[in-house]
Amino acid sequence: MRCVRIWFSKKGRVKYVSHLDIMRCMTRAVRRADIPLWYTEGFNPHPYLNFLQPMPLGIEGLNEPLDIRIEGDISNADIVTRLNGVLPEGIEITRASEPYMKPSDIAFAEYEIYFENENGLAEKLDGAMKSGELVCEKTGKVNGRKKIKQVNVSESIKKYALSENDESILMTVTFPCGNTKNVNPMNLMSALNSYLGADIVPLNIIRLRLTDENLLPFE
Amino acid sequence: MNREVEKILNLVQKPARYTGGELNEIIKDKNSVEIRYAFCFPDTYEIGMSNLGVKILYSVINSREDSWCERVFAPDNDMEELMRERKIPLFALESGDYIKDFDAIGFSLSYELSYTNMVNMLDLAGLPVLSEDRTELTPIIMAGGACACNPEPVADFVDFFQLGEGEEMMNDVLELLKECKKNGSTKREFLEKAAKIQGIYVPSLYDVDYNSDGTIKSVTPKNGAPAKITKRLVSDLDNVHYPDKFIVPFIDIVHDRAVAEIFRGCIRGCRFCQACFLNRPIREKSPEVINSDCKKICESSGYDEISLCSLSTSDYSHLGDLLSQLLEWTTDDKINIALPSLRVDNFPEELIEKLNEVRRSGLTFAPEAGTQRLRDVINKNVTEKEVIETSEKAFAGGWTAVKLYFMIGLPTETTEDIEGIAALAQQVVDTFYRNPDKPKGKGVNVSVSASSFVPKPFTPFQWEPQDTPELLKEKQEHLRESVKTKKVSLHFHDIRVSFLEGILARGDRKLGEVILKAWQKGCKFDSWDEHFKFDLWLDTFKECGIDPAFYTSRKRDFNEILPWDHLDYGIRREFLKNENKKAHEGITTPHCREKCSACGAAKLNGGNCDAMRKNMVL
Repeated sequence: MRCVRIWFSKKGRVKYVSHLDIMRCMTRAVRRADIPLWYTEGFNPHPYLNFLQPMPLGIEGLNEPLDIRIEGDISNADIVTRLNGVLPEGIEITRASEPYMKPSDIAFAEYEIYFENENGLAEKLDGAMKSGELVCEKTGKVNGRKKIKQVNVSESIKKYALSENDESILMTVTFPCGNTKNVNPMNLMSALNSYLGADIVPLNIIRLRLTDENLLPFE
Repeated sequence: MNREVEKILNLVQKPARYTGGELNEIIKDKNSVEIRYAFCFPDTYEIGMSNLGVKILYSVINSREDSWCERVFAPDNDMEELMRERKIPLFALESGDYIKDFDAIGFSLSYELSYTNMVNMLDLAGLPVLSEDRTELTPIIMAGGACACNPEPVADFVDFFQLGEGEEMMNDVLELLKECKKNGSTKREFLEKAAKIQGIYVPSLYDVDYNSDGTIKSVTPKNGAPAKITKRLVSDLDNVHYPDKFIVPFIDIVHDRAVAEIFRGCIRGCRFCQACFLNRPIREKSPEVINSDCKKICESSGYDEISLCSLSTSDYSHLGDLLSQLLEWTTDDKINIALPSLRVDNFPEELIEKLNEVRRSGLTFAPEAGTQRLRDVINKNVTEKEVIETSEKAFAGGWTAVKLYFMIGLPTETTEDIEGIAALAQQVVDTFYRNPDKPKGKGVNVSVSASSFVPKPFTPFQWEPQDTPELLKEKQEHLRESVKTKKVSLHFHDIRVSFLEGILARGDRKLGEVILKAWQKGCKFDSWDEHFKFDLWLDTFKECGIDPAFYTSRKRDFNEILPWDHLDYGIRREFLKNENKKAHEGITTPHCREKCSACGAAKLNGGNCDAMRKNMVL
């Protein structure tokens, strides 16, 4: 048995497929691809698939890691080709590698958010991002009970940049992403909209990559 | 994807219901096809995508080079609200194009409570909901499915119905539509020609006259339409089109697995069961073909479960052979085989063992009635002894949960029969504790589901009154009081829903107005308890001057012309009448393999019925 870290991208309409559903889709894909999988040894044997970092609904991803366990002889290149032959449109395996880092090394995620360039929107967004007062509501659990809490998003902005051309505005932003702290662009959007009193729907949101503590790519 | 649609996707629950893009969906070049077909299922994505008919016909239409069939489901309330607010008409999943611009729209009507959803979807599409208000040839609106056997309540909305099995009929319809489009024919010309295709019923070509008491006086065909419309059926299941690829949904749907159909029709003749009579005669598929269907579907989908589909799985004559063939490869591939619709009287032990090699699924039995007397009335030829013996085997095989299905409100039912349900469930519980090898530390759970009986067209009970909601309520209470143990959990159907189902199932054209008005008041998703608005329905009946009791609690005379009497499903009316009389005398009818009871269905299949394995006397 060996562990392989496969990397996939999720683009176009599959971004509306939830994390749980992507998991099921991948499980079926490895079955269709006839990859010699290692099965758990319980009453209900199932293949081992570990998605390291869930994806929020509505976001494209370019470098998403997934660990699988293989039993038998197959090269990483073969895994990539076979899987790509059976995946639905929008999901593509970009490469397969050894797992170099531990899943717990994931600390941040880099996102690109695209907006339609309307008059003055870039200034407004920039102002809001620099205000230090972006707050969103998040449902979290306190002592096992569901509770809505106010989260300051501004404090979590690790890196931020804004650029624009005639058609669109591009915001690049890095948020904590991992087991302990997690802020995603959907939280940012609801914070921005409530700060600006607006109803902005971005053109697209892309997760570029996951990184470690030092903002080096997670491998 | 349409940007307007994309803007709202982040605001709704489960947006993947509306995006398409699943594995094995079919995309074609819209400029290179002649017919664009929107296949509509009037319920949510999760339900519609589970429907085998949808999968089959999607594949049948798309196997034609000249046609592109796309899927459409009823948007949930949150999505509908946003679509209406932003004026986005109903679109098809594959292309995202608006279905009002398609050539044909087909609805699959599996249950009566989806009628308002169909009307709502037509309106959401931006089309007039009434057939007479749509004057152009395209989009032509058709409907099929089990409800087509009495389509009169929705005759005002749909241009024509497909009676029976659609695989071959659909091709005839598409050919005609193609020709009529080319010739610039009018809608009327198309419909008059369509009425000549076997299985096609064009309601606007029939005038219905009523007696003063509200019953039907006559149904008169016009413009050359046939007096009797005979259902279509497929003779040879081995050679009819069956999908080798299933669309694999991203989101969790109700039945998310490979499905192989093993035979059509049912030999049992339970007198309440519409599916049995609508789908006769028996036609079996050979185990080799089924095995190869299963293989292809599993390979192309990655499913790890196969469900063998029929009305009564253990009546399939080659079941053992089929399972051996399947188990040859499914065990290695870790694929589970599910056998729904097993009967208690021929549930073979070795079957349980074979299936145990893979994973264990649930066990459900349907004794349907609590006492032998009532089971004889409904011709459910299952004895208490058989139920207990089968439970014994199942418990010995390691099962600890059993589901039992019953109906209440059956003809001739008494309180004794209700108490019998509780007693039978109790006996199953006792059987578990009698088992010396029962698993340690585990209790038993017997789940009793009691639905309310709704008399349906083309069954021996089509003339019977339905119990009033008040009486059903009493019976439910009585059953609840009769159950003395916590090992038995009781589940009931909403009585009000069954009441509405009963009205619509045996309704006539007068109900068209009621459905239209109820929908206008906001009725839709009637089969969903949380969306069902019973009060609005009652208001509407009152407003239209229609007494629901006329359709539900009235015993029909054998001589009365029933709203579906001009439709022919092969079953002789005389046979149904006889079965009805025998029911009231408590006399059972042997199943078709024991003795052919000459129901008449085989005449639609050149006299062939696989129950007898030889030509029968017509």
